[in-house]
Amino acid sequence: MEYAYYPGCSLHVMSSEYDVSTRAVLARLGVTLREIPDWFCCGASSAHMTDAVLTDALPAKNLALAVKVNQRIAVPCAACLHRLKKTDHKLKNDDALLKNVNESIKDNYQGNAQIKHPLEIIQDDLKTEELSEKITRPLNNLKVACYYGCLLVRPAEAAIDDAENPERLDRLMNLLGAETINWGFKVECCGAGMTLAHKESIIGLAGRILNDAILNEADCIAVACPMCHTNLDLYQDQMDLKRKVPILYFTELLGLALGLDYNSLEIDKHIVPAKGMLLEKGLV
Amino acid sequence: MSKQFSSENIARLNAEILVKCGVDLKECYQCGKCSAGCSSNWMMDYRPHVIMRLAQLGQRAAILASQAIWVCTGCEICSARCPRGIDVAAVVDSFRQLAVAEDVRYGEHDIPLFHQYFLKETRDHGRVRELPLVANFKIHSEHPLSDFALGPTLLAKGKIKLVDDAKGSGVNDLQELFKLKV
Ligand code: SF4
Ligand code: SF4
Repeated sequence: MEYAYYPGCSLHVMSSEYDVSTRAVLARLGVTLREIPDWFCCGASSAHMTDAVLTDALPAKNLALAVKVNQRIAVPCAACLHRLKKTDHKLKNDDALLKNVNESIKDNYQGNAQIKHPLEIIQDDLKTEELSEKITRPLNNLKVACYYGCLLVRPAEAAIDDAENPERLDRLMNLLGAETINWGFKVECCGAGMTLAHKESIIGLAGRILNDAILNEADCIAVACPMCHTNLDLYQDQMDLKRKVPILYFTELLGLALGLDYNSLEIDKHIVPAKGMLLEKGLV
Repeated sequence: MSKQFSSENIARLNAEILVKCGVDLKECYQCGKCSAGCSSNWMMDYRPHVIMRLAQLGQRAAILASQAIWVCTGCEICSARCPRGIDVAAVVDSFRQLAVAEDVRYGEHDIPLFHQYFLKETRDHGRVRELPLVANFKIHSEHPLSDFALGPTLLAKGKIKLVDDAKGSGVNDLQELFKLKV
């Protein structure tokens, strides 16, 4: 199975460990990623919040470039996924808009992309047995809070799961041998693009998510988005928390379960160290 | 009735929002569910249902000058839960876009500034480079020195790079679409 790969800006430097673990686990599972050569920023929050034309032009041009590589596109960043899928949905359902946008982006996108998050690729393209056969280091004794946030589950046309009680991540973690907790903050907002723009938002919003994970005795929080990771990971020092909570990409936990080398996954790049906890659980 | 609440103002804003994002403001029956779930309700001067009410009443200038439209994170909880199926988040987006296009005095300083420098990175380099973005934004923000101490940690962890020659050349065809002041 082959996909065009849109890493997005976050995975380029800030969250390159998510890029590394995504590529590693998909390769291990027999999925080939071909990076789109000229990909550029999807516009993130800043485009749709300030400019109606850029809102669709930036994703549409990237889709036009992507389908030249492959109609199936893998997008690990929930924010990019959300922007690309929202625009794609509009273009697929509005011929006049498609024509208009194609003129402005000087391209000829046909509305023929199939955009998927790696979580969907792993769960929908592969057989469960195939995956479980490859698990060499089950995540036994690990209590995981699965955090989905906003952009993986809203709105319906961009969502990969139910808006109020998504379970994809929980199912994967359970398959890997981990226990997942019941908690109230699965689909609450971490502060999204406010990381730098408005720290007060992150301290408040990410802080209450972390506190609920602590209350429910999670060893770590599993995420599937670089923006969620950064917001939950970056400012824990400045929050009022009983203890720190390691934040791990689901691809990192999957990588460990598949027996990939700890160092090759670059988990030490996180601000809140995860190694001590993982050692304790016998996962390193 | 004062001129502010004139039926012309009401009709004009209703039509404008309908064209911009497909929302018929009259559909809102003010149940407040959008505000109950809103991520940023604890920081807003006008919570989402109040924005909806002000919009129904044609109070365009008050909304454009509000702080709420900027602290909205775009989480879309409001839209997902509205019993009338209204895309409240799209209404907020519309007002932000209007505020930028009309160059009004914003009700929040740093957030619109951040968006501007973020899109400058997109326009000029295709891919957003963290360090120049932080530098440009911080210099102009109201809190230029906050979290300065985080810098060395981020560098040591490889979360920011001193030199980043990122180039997403796909953006080259789109240059004239950007209407930035920087
Ligand atoms: S949830 Fe919908 S109907 Fe209720 S106040 Fe908000 S916009 Fe109006
Ligand atoms: S999108 Fe904005 S207004 Fe709507 S719930 Fe989220 S923060 Fe509140």
